[in-house]
Amino acid sequence: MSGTGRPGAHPGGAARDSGAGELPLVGSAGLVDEGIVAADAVARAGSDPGPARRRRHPRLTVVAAGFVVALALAAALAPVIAPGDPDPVLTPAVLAEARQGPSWAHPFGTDQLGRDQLTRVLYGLRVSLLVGFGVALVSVVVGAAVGAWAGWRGGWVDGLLMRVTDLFLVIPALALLLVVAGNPEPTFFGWFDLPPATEVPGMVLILSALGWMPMARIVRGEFLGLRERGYVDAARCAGASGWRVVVTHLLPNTVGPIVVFGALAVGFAILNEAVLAFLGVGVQYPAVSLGSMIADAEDTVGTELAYMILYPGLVLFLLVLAVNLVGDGLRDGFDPRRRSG
Amino acid sequence: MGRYVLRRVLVSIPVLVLASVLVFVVVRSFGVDPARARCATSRDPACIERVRERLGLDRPLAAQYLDEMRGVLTGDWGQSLRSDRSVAAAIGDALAETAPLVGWAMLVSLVAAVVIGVSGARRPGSRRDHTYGALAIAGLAVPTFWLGLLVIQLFTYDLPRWLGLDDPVLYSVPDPTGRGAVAGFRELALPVLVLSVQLVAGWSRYQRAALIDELQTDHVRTARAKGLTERRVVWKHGLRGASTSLVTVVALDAGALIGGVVITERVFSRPGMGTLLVNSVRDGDTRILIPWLLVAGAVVVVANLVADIGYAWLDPRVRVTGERPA
Repeated sequence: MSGTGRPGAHPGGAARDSGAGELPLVGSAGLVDEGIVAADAVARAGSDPGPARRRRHPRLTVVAAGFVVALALAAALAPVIAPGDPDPVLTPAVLAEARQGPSWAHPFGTDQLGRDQLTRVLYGLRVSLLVGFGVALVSVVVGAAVGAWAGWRGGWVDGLLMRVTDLFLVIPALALLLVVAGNPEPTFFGWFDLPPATEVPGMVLILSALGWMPMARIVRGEFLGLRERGYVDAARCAGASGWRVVVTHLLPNTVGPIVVFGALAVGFAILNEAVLAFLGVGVQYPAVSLGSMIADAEDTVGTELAYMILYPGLVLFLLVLAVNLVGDGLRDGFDPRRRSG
Repeated sequence: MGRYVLRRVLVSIPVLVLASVLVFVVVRSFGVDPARARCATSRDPACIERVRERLGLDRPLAAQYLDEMRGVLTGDWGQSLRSDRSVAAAIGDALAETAPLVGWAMLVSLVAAVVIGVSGARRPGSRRDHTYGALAIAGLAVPTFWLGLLVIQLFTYDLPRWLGLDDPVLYSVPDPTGRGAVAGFRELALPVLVLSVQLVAGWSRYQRAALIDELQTDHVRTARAKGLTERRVVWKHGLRGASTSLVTVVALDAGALIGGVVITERVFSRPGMGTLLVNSVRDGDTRILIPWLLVAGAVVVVANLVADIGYAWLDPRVRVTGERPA
């Protein structure tokens, strides 16, 4: 879809990206007779770079998390801390401030109408953050449930669920997003009303409905591999029910990809909301989003007003970057496989 | 294997049909009325009624859909509801514009991703690896449309000015004077660059992670123990197993590329499949949307099929039928 890409196009890569150290050529020698499972565990332990290296950039993660929190606080407190009014009455005094480049009075400059861009960025951040976290939550819950069910049961359940997932993947999400998000009064085929995408809940609903599939595929893929593992057979032999194996053995081993997908889904949802806004659907005037600010400023390319593109995009970029870095850091801390050392 | 391919193709047909029904219903129920779009500039109050009747838009949706599909399946794709232009010609022209963009972007991205991924995986934790990692993280976070606008600003306006040129340099406009390699490069360089950034960022991380895992497996250890050169171990024994994840991701991204194409074509004002999609949605033009969807869907299905087969070919442990052992 967007592309920005679609939500979760790459989380698995980040999930498997282990930052591992050197090959354990020596470590696992002579352990063959202790069984394949043990050798596997030791090999993984041997490849673990150790506590000092395991969390690659704990400081970076903390800084990124702090940055996200700071942006969230700034967005929440926008009415208090913003230097101006996001949509002021266009008095001569306001218009006199028009087309000013970045300065101490207007750090992000002002637009053609004299509106302070920093103020509008702060209000746009509110939309981005609400959409991002809302979509991530809904897509993870739906996607993980579908993927776990399909991957564990296999057979016709897997076939059916994956065809449904395929159906959602085949739908050109962007086309549906443009149609549905462009409709001011959506209903579920006339049965009941849906929240319009011109407001945050409707946007969350639409983006989640078209964003859960990668999670389902990732979890299913992990389950297909994991359920063949020796410890699953061991657990079954010990009398564990299928439900218990899924919850206590398979899902914990999938936490890394799930957490990483969740964190990256936040970033992708933020990007997708911005893309829709750029294409002209999404929150409507007088509300602003970072994407709609960039869309409004598109004509300033090549003029001295091009800073109107630069700053909202920079904030958007840094926000998504920070969210993704937090996801990376969470993975390093939560992946049980890599804690086994 | 032959039966598997046949089954996957047969299974994907109802998926595509279902998707086309869904799009048809959603666009016609939620979207713009094609007759209204067509009469937007007409002052005749009877225009909408007349157009509806002439295009058959007054009939039940199911009948319209079946007509549409009958036309598509018999090879008569009909005319656009908006402009009477031949749908086959419109989609053909759009494909011809988009194919080079996507083809070059995928080629450039694949080569770059494999080279970067291998380079990082051979020395995990090195300064070069960290640099690639940081660039990839940034590449995944950057909004494509913003990057596109910045790239235009930089290469069209800023760079020529810094170099002392008087006029901005236009790139993405097709050069009427020639279709040679230089003109082609000038037309495609910036769009391909913008479209590739996220692909390279994502794929190179996959490649790196998969290769690091692969280099710890027993068969690679065996290859090392045999005394093969490191180059041979990495590029032949390591890369084969590590390619499975990349193949899957590339196929998954085939569908995701549509969004990137829409934005890239929008930012660079290029005609093509993305522009056609946005315009057809805007006009409620299902006569174009349904064939568009079937063409794009077929590409995605084939890409995923090739990936599944490639997966089984690259990794003998994978069973394509998905049965569990007793």
